[in-house]
Amino acid sequence: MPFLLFNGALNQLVFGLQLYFWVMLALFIGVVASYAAWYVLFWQPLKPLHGHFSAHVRKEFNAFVFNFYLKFVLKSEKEAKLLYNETIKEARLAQPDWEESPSGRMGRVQTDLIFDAHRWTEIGSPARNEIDKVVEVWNEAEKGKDEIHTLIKFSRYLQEGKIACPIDKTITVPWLRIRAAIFTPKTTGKWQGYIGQLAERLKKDQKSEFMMYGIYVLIFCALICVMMIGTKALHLI
Amino acid sequence: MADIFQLPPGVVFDPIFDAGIGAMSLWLIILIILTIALVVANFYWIYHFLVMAPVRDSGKVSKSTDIKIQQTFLFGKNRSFSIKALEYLNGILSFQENKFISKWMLTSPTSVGTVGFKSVMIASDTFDCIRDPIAELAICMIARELNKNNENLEIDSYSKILAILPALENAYPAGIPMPVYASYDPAEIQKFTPTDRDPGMFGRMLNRDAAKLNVAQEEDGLEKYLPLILFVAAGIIGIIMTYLYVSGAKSPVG
Repeated sequence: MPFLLFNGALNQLVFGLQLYFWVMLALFIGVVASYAAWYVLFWQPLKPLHGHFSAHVRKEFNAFVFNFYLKFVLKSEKEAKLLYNETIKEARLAQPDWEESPSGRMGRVQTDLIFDAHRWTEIGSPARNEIDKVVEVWNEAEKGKDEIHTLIKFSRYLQEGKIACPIDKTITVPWLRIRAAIFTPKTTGKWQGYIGQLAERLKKDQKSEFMMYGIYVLIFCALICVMMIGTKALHLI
Repeated sequence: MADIFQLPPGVVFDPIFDAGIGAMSLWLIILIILTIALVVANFYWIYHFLVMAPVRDSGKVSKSTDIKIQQTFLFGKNRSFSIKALEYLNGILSFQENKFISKWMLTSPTSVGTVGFKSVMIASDTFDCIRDPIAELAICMIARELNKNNENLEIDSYSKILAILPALENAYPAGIPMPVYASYDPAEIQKFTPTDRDPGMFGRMLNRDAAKLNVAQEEDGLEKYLPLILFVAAGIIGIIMTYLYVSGAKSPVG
């Protein structure tokens, strides 16, 4: 005797096939469609930020690296800070004067914010090639004493003049930009356009609010009418 | 045997899918596997969805064609930050939901950057302007340098940096030079920003001015009540008509 579920209900023929075939097909489409929907609608638009998920799962830090034009790119801590292809743990051991970054948290992931104007964090960029050459020589000479494994330490030594490298040390931030960002006075007159827009929106919101009240009143009246008709119908019975 | 195991009417067996494997048939095993796959696939993505919560709005912004929706880094004093979809209109950044009143003003296009496919602004709960990390790094760095080199000078507030601004502009006419690689601390600039400029206060002021303007513009006082008046009238007429019908009275409209 073959297996029968629900007294054979799923073995009934529907369009020439047993019902269970159709259920299997529906489930298969459900699996594929739900996976594809999640991927296309949720995961794909977040492509530049997938590193946040990897960092969360691996319990690592990551960093938003940005340039002079505020182009932010999410990178792993290793990509954003280290000079060599080694783990953070190895770099910390090799360079005991490790500088902690003043970071923030995105969810459970510690995320640093690092300014990189000349693509130091990009392996193969002109500046990085020069840095790699100079650091190689420095670390040979300072092996086990004062090795450089992080870009921040290299930057510090470059600023302090301890190390020489044929790359730009500084970038100039114009006063116009500084004044606009920090020293702009608060003036109400400038925002009249926005205030006007906001007032229009308030007016529209108020109209919709009164419309909703009207609909509630209408529903209430309709209920009274239904009750009256219902009462009459009961009397007739 | 056929008499003992009488099949229910309409039941049809398939030689492959109805073949028993242990106590179950092949189709039931496939059904169970597919059901587990459906649950596992969705839990897999729900986990991703929860982990990506701080940056989830970035996806929402990149899918949106509404030019008012603005991707924003939102920094908190508590050192946590996230990417949110806010609304940008006429130089003002605000929340899409009316219940949050904080607003920020955009003072310069140089404060606008990009993350992924869309532009990004940076806002925080400490200052009512869109923030520019480059300008902040420059100011903090020059203040640190000055403090290090002059023991008698302690630049640690907005008023102090504002006071030496002309001197700084004379000393560095092209702008402030800063290292090409540096760590950015969003909290460091707080001491160099005015204390009475929080985005909640700014938003409240704008909302109050807009409400005042809305009241001042109300020439057509009855117009906004019109839908409510019409609905109430329609409801009363409906009740009267129904009453006339159920009471057996002759309707005035025939």
